Amino acid sequence: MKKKKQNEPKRNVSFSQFGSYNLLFEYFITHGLEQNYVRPPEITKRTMELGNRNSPDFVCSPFKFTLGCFLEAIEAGADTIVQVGGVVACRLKYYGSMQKKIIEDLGYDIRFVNLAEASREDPRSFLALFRKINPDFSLVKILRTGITVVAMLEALDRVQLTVSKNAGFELRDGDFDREFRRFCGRLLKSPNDPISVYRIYRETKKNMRAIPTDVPEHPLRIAVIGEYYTVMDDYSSHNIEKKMAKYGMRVERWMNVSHTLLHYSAPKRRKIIRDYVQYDMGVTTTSNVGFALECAKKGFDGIIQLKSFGCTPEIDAMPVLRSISSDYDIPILFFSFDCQNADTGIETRLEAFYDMIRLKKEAQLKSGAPERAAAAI
Amino acid sequence: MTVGIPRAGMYYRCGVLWENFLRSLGEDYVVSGETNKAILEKGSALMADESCLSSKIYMGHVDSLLDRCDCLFVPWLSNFGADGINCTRFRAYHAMISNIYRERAPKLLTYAIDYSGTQDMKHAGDEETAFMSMAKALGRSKKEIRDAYRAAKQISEEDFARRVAQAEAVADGEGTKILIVGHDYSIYDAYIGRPIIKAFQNFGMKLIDANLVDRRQAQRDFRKLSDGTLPWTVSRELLGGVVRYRDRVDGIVLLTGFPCGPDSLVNEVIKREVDDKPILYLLQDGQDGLAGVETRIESFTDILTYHGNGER
Ligand code: SF4
Ligand code: SF4
Repeated sequence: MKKKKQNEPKRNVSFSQFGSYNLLFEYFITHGLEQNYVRPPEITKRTMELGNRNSPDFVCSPFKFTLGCFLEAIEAGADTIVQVGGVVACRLKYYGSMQKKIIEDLGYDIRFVNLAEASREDPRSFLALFRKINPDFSLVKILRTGITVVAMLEALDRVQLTVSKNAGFELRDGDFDREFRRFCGRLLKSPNDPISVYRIYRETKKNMRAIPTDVPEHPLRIAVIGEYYTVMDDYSSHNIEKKMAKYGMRVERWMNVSHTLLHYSAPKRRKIIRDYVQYDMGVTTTSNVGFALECAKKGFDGIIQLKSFGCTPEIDAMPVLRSISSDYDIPILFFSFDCQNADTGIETRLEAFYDMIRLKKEAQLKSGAPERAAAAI
Repeated sequence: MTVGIPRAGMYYRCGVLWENFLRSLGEDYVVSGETNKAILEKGSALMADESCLSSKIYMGHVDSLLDRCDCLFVPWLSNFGADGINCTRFRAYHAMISNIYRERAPKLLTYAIDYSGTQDMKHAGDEETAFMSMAKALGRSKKEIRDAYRAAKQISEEDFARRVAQAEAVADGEGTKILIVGHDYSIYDAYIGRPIIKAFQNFGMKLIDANLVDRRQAQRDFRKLSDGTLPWTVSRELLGGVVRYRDRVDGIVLLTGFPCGPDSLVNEVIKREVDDKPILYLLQDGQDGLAGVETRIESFTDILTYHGNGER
């Protein structure tokens, strides 16, 4: 193995920004496929403009985000681009094909690895894609790193949940965020085995438990749902979870990569929502509607839906969410983001929503309406 | 029992099948009227602002039927077979209607197609199996349903083949020819598409609908313009139609209702891959009718006629 690699220069592989998940990808590329990883530059206005300018009209914004990231990564030296879209039967499935075309038409000579070309039923199709990145990959290393990365994914999502739930109550601004960043940095340097990952996870949880917080007796509990990419990517959602934390909301979000990929039973959720949806609506609607309903039943104070402008399945879920909202008397706020949203408009709507649910809660508490205790960390 | 069929969405693809099926069973049914301003306005009020134009039209038709029928015909059309899927909206209509009209709770007559069978729906399966699931709701025996389905299917396939043959004849014939690429429910809609068709015809253009192709052939042909990851059946067929007709037409018109998900990508494929024909891109939001579009149609036909004269 080693011998061959000396003649093959390593490829510089990149992937678009996607929440904190890039670090998993980086780890897999460097340890599993043994190639270089090019970190896509932080998303800025310019990333958006690049993406916007080169994208088709009114395509959903994750397309524009990821394209902008790819173009900047190429400028930063990437020669291989990986698009993971395609597990979802939506426009996402065609992102890769279109983006490849656009990048080639711009005159860049890169290798484009499109996960939509692989099929979950046929594991060999993934090997073909790995081979595109490293023709001499070692299956042992891939499997070993794969296990570590799955452990990292679980750890990352759990820690992220802890942050979402508690950042709103920290006494010192940014404590949770700082610990989270440290955690990410440590994961990247972790030895390639799940036990080391677990150790880092345990220590992080311990550190987070030690962060001084002031949780009110009846915090406002908000369920965050929405379209896959926007919900998980802070930049796309204008850091809405951080903004919510500033208002002291306890954010609960089910949707993340590990839940949807590893711990999701569509038939179960379909059963839960049977009173509202008799026939599956596709993509992430079942899981979102199901989670919204669970939270409504638990007596949450509000639901916030995040999506990119024109996102078909999430728009279609809106009438269903409205039904739940009126049946359980739980306010709901819909956000659609495109590349041109102004922060101020978002703030204003969030603030109005906050005022409403806070007053509602106060009235509720005064009248002594039964309220279920908020779950602890 | 009177069944109400919205004249929108998949009606334009499956309507012949639906109507013949109900007719041969002797069921009463009513198809909603042609789209007009009132229908679109009603639909727009019921749907989120950022929904696509054709879904607003669809919901307007649904609304117009509520007082005129005992149950609405709302199939769940995840796909039409192994060759791709449908836009998720055709899976969503059933739940959207039952939630938008939650108080009123209209009865819905449904068959659910899901060839891939991954959705563990009660009645999922191929089209025939899906139709059979309506036996109970219609109070018929399985055999009656099967016979009615098979007869109606044959009529609808013959009807489609006849329309394809007509389109081929136009493509082989004389005149300045335009390939119109769009969803059939846009092209044939009385409010959105037909005025545009008429405008072109007034300028003496011959129109060919890219949907009218041999569908099996189109499923192979689309790969000349795209790789196989293109998910939607209808989009694949439209690209197949472009492959089939592009050399026999003088120009191409892309007709899209804002903000259609599949079209946002498929139009871009056509714009990038077809560089030897003038392309007119008509994006409609249902706001301003034909005003503004008319001048663009006129100058486009001007280009085509000059183009044509120069070549011949
Ligand atoms: S889920 Fe929404 S954002 Fe994602 S590809 Fe589909 S339409 Fe676009
Ligand atoms: S294909 Fe386009 S026009 Fe048709 S329902 Fe989907 S988004 Fe609307």
